[in-house]
Amino acid sequence: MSNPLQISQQNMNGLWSIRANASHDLNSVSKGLFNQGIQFGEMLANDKLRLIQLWPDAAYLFSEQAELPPITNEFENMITDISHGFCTIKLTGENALTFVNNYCSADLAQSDITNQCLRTSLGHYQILIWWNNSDEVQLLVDRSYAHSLTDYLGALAHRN
Amino acid sequence: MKYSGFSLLKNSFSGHKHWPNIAADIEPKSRYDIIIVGAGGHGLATAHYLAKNHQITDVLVIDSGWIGGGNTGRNTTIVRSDYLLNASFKLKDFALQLWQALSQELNFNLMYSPRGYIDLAHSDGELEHFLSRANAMRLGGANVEILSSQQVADRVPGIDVSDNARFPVCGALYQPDGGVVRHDAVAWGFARSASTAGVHILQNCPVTGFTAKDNHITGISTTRGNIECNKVLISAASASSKLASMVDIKLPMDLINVQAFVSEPVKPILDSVVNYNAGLAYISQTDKGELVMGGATDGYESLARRGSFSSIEDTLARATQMFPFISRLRLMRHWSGTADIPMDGNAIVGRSPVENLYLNCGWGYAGFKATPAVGWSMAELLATEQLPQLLQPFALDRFKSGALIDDAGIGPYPWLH
Amino acid sequence: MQIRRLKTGGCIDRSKPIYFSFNNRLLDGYEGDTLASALLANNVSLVARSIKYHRPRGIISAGLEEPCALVACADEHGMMIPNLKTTEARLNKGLTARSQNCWPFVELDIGALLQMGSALLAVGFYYKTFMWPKDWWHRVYEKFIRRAAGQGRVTYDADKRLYDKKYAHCDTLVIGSGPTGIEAALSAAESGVSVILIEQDCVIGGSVLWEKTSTDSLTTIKLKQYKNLRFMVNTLAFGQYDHGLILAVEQNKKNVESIFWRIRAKSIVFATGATEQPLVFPGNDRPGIMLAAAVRQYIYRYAVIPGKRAFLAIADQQERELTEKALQVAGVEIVGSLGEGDQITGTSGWHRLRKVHLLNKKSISCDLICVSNGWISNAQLSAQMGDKQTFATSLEQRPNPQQHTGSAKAFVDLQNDVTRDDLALAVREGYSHIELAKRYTTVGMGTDQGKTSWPNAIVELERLSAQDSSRVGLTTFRPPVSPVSFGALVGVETGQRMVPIRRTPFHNAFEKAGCVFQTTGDWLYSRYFRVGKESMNDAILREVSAVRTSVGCVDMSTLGKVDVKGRDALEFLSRVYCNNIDGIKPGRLRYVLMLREDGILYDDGTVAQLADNHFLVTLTSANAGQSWRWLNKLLQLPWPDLDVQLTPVSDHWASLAIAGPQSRNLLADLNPNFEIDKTSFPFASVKQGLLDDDTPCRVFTVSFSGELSYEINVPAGFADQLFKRVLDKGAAYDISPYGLETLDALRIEKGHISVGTEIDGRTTAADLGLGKMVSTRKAFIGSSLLQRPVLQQPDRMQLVGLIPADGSSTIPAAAHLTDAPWQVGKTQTPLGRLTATVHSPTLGHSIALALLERGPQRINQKLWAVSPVEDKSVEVLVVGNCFYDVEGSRLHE
Repeated sequence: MSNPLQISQQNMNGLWSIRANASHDLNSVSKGLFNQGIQFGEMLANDKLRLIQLWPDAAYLFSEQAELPPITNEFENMITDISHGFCTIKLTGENALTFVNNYCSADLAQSDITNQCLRTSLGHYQILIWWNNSDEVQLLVDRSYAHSLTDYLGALAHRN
Repeated sequence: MKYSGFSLLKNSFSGHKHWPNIAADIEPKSRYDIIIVGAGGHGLATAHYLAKNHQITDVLVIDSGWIGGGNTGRNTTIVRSDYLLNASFKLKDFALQLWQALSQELNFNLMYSPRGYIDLAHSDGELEHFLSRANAMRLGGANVEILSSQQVADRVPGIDVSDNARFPVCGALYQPDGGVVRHDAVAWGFARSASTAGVHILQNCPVTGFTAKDNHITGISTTRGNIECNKVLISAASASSKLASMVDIKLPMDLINVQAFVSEPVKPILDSVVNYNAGLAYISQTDKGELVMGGATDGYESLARRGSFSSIEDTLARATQMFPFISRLRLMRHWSGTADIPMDGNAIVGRSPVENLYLNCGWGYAGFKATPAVGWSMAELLATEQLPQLLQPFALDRFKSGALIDDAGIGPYPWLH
Repeated sequence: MQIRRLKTGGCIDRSKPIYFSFNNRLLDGYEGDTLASALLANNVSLVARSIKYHRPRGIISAGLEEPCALVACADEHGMMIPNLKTTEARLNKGLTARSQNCWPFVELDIGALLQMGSALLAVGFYYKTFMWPKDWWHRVYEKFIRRAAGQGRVTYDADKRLYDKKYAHCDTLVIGSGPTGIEAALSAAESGVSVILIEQDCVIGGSVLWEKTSTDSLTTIKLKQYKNLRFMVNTLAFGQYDHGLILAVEQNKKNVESIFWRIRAKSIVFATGATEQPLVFPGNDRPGIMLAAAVRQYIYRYAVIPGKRAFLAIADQQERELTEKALQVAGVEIVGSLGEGDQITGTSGWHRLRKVHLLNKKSISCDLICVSNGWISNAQLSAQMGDKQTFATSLEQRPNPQQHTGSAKAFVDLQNDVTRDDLALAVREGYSHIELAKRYTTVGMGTDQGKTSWPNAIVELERLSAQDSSRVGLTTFRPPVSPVSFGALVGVETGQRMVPIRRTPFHNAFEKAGCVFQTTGDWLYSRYFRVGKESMNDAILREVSAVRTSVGCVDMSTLGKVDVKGRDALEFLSRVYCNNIDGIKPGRLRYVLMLREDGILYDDGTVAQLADNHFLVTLTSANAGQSWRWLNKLLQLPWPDLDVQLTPVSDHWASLAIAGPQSRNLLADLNPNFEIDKTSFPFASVKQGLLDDDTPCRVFTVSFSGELSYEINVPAGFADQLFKRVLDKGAAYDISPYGLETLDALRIEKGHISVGTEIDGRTTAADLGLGKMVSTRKAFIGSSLLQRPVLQQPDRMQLVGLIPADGSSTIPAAAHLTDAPWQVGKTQTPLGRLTATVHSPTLGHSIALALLERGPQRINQKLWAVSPVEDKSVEVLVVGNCFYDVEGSRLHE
């Protein structure tokens, strides 16, 4: 690669796990935040928030702020703060997306990943990936694995 | 015809044209005293000991395929008896004693090679467990030592015991009498001995059902007709579940896929049998020079005898931790089979709810090492109808009573054993 | 000197000569050569010695099916790589190759003496002898056999080369770049789908390279014009798995030695061609006997003539004509051709073929025989998926004209030296099924995977046993299609990278504080903290003393933590744990036990109630992963109707426990915004709030050490800050951070159970003295199977404590309990075994926990703790399983 891959690690700001319960499904929460429902595999985003549903009954809510956005009380029981449980690892450089695509089992070039985000594995690491263009990719990984994954990515980069 | 250096020499003059069939082609009779379903190592060993120890030769060993076509022809040839629980240790240690003179007894070179079995520990806690196991074995009369990591390195050139490894080696349990036996030869040796004594062996003839009356088996149905008998032993590994279900016995075991593989052959480089315990991998070198390796099961039920390639990658990753030079070698061949694993990870041997039906199954991928002891004990049970002490813990009803024998403490999850 | 190189032609680059060494002889070739073509160009015909009889062998093919011409080559670090086929080794600068399995030279090999005894060495001979004297197989015979066996040599030096593993996806995968493959790839690319084309050779072309004298560069240009088509050479597809998964290894890369590819394709085109089969006749193994298509490939592609006087033994007419034409073009004299009814009775020549002998005709002088017994399609990848192959023709129709049996050996498997007579013997002895014959004779089990032997072997077995092929059967095809590097299959996951390493949020701060870490499962966990130059034992003494007399702090972050919410949360937890927890209230917590479905104790932990319908559950570090999956499985399968939401929060919370008589004072110094006196914040409670008005926290009053203790949880990002403040404020109390070693010593002193020692997957709660924690008034996981009679017997092994009878001896670790001291040569049945031992810093003597038959009934009895391995026997007194503060008063101070 002509533009060498840069790998940097950072902590999250706001990240919450939202789980459907017997009283409310995820659509209710999604409508409260984005004025529209959400489906399994979908990502909704505005300039402040991002909601990703990557499990049948659970979604992740991302925010630049550490405070939970205003949301009705009745949804409180669905929400758990997990912002400290993850780190993001950012890969920047020409062909960053190709690099990641080479090493994870999902096909990142698939045309039907319309929202450019998915949950997959890279080696033995469970990660969430999203990207807006092919030169910058973000991986979300459990905090305790972050250091190890960074080392791993470095070894992979060394082979390219 | 006796096998010996002399007879080999003699026959070489006549172009080896006079060696007889190791298992005479027979026409099955209409009735036998005992029918053994499954001509693997265990079934054939049982037939041999029925003839040798009890002079019972009115026996038919029947198999849906060729002899030794199951685990006996697919395993990684390791024999050892380093088990914590008394029941497992005693049976396998008896087997180890029998292995030592079995080639001579069968007049077939089984290539029993007590190279030493080394079970690696990757933490102080694990080493302490091994010390406990070793103490149990010594109290039971077996020869065993605990090695430090330096002693492991001294004994096994090329092994990496440094801190560079992901799970550095802290030490090991070492059983000098453990080693390898040529697996195919075991089936052939027992078959030849039994056949010479008059036992009938019928290959490529599947059993399709049983005929029974009043909780008593009267015979078997096969693709070559019905055959009557006084007693039946099901010794058919993963096929045992289906056979037992033909008489409404549900065996509490799962059929899990397991794989093994070899490298291309190289000159002698590994003289011991070594087992890695952070995740599982075991390795030895065959007499042909191939490094043979195996690991954990694939973790799911399958009769396909195929498995997933990631199991091989996982096993190999661990083998490479032990022996970093290995990555210069190549995968030459791999194979796969079905491990029948019961709910506590240990075999089901002994009587069944049907009066004259006996069971020997559930050995998973740990049955080969026990072959002669199982044959000996099963023969005793069939001949005398008294349950030998060595077999008592393996009864089918232990799942009902709670007398489980779970060596690894894993629980009722066969795919984890 | 390349005396056998044609002056023009070939796909080699004559402007790039390459020097290489073979058995210390300096030779030359060109870029584009394989080692085989370069050797043939230099008129080297003797390359190797066969494995069993050490017969001279040469090159018979031009591809991966090569059975004999195996050499060892040095890699760029000077390490020898064994068993490379000369036909697959690309010629590159400085290549050093050596013949294997011969001594002292391939030209003069002492192993050839084995041929004198070859009648004795009939197949399976080793099963018939080597049995006397009794132990001599292992002590004597085996050593010789092992030294004679094996092909190449490998040394213990670690492999320094880099390997990689990658994934690829496409709509259409085409395997093979012969005419069929190219056509398929181009038309697929034209239709717009994503295409990957892989070719195991170093150039595109496949069978085209055997029949023409130039590469088709036009094809490469055509391929390159499609953006949606990717092609890779030097890439061998070696395995096929379900749902369109192809495994392949790509070699000759710049940065790495090889790449293991996992390619997932929506459709796959197998254009893998076919492998030509040799003829079986007496003396069919001499150097100079080659497959006809290989001869053509050497002539056209490499501009090499493998001989000057050629005899043709080719079954198919078209094949014969093609070969004649190639030989004429190369100026090779054709001295004869096998006609209808002709039989080859033998050959002559030692290091090289000199003559072929025919029945009823005189011998013909030649140095090359072009053989072909037909073609077998390379359908291994399909066969791996269970697609059955059958012969298209019946036994009678198949061309196998050579049936003459002379005294000379007629080889069926050239690598493993398996002859026609060997197969006859196998059939005679009852090994007539191909699987038995294969194992008995080793036919087809070499590094060539029998590519040029298994079809002939089946034909021979059919003839010999008078069965048709369906009785003989076909051997099972499995990956790899050709041997692939182990290094590639491991890729980057060597050394520390084999599996991920987990670090707690305190890791970096601990490192700076002198922590010595230890690998514990997935984690790097603190083992102890070294102050100055102290030894580990001194550190442990210091740390234990601190906890028992003042205060210490320990990382509890590795425990699994699950946030449990929902209307049915309490009901769910009540079913999962065997304790009665229905009386729990917000702000309180319970120590709980989780049983397996079969009633055996599986895990211990805590359930803390944070609010209505909101709980936090902890799981042991060792079982966290498995327990998390278990809890989810329960909610998905048997109980989907329960309104419960689980969120894993293990990594979200950093957890530091401060323990010791001064811990409450220390907690006060951390400035919590809630009351912490004994009444407001008793043992087994939880409170949430802030420390120093800026650090959110949850504090649990739990204790593994038996001392007054507070487990302070903060969101992981605050870990550094918390640890710093704890050390700063703790300095006033001489705080000692501690790790696993001290944790263990403290818990043994208290008789607290732990996973892997007392919780060993075989013990029940009652066995460990916790029977009272098992509810009798509700159903829970494991409740019914726990009632099985053997699990309720009073004489089971149960937990007790042990102290040395003399008050001072060291109880040996991992000892077993017997009623008499250990005596060499005597067997004993133990009554129990130790689960843990430590020299108790607090009590000043050795203590142990043990599982003992009828344990509680034996209290005050004396037994022996024996360790035969260490030759130690120590008399011990059985006591209760708590050695320190039995009433637990220190928890409530």
